[in-house]
Amino acid sequence: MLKKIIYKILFLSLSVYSFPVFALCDIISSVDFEKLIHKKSPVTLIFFSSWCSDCKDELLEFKKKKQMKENYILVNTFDSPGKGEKTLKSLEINDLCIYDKKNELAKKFHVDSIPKNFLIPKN
Amino acid sequence: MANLKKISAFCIMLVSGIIIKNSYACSSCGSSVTSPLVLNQNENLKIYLGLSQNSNYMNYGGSEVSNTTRSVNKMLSSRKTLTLSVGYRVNEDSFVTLTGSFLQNEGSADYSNSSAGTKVKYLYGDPILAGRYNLVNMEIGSTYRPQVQLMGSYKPSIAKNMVDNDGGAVDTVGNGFHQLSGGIDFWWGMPFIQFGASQLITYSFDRTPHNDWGDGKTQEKRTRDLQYTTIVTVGHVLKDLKLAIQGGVILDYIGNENSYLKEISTGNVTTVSRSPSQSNSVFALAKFHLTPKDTLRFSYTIGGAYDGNLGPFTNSKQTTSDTALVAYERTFF
Repeated sequence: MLKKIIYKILFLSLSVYSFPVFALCDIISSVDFEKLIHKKSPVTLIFFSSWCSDCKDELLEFKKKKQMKENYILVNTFDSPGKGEKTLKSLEINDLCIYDKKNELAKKFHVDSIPKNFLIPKN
Repeated sequence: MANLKKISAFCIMLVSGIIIKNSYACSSCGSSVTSPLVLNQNENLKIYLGLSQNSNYMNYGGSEVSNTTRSVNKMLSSRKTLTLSVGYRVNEDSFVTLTGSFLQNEGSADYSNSSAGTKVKYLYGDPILAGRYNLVNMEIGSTYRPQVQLMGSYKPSIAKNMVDNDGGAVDTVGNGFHQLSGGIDFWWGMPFIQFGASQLITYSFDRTPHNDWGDGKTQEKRTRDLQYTTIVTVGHVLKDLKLAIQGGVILDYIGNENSYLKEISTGNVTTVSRSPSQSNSVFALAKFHLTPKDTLRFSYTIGGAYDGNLGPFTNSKQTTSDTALVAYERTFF
């Protein structure tokens, strides 16, 4: 019985260790987005798309800046739902990501080309 | 009012945040050299203004030479073209473009008499309504997954053309056929060396001009078989220089063309056939991104680039020319 429990604990811990959970690009309301920005500011928004070749370099650069991750939000825009997650998974990036439904955030921040980084100052 | 809007937009930008990094993503495709406008998914309205010059006109298969021998075209010496194209995104996966052109032809006033001098003619070209549908998009996670686009276009024959006997080469510009084109375009834009290929098939609707052919005959009907255009492109993006460079080949095959001639006196109908024609061009293209919204494009195409025997791809029965182009593209939103 004890053996079984130990095996189960071992299996579970190994599973968690070997299969990291990658970021889901969440769809959030504009109110929740404002709250999130307020909470995390100063924060940099990184707008990216799964089809944009330049975004790969940008995301890999972001991945290197591990110590600054707290101040970044990835925004998957001009894209179909689910594509951003696939991209982040392929680059092994597991961080906060928002899916920009109907490109509303891109419009709000006047993002017309990608990748684009946008710094939001404190408060 | 417009200035007020710009100032308020700028203020909103200053208050809400600062853009700290821009990029110059390049919209492209396997047939980029022949398509004025290709829209990225983030582009909804874009215009293209191009100025090109065709020169070095040559004929394969003139009156006294074989179909694959090249000789100087004595009728046309240069053609300058102003092209305006507008592209509009219909939905996430497709966009349409409308292209119009104005031309200036220059050539011999009378090619059989060299002392007759030259003449210049101003014309408008056939408009082209085209559309593309993104069947597959590229993905960062799959370097060798291509962008696959379905292409379609319609070109009505509006311009002055030789099917309708509107004059000689200097006086005409269109091929005289209403045409429908369809095809597929592959573009691998993620690898270090980008590459693409596209295949286009063009259907020409039969024409019934009923015009005077001379020698007591009228041209009752003109038909043209299918046209096949293949474009192969290789490219590379120099991100630091905001420059995309491409090169490649265009292989163009036009099927048989038949004129059905009716003798006015007897009513007998005879057929004059023009055998299939082939032309192979090579091109070099550079796109320079002035800003994320503004692009300058330069290209040079050499028509009938290789004169040797290429088997079924040997240049034949065709008029070729070299083309130099400078163009400006602007994305509005």
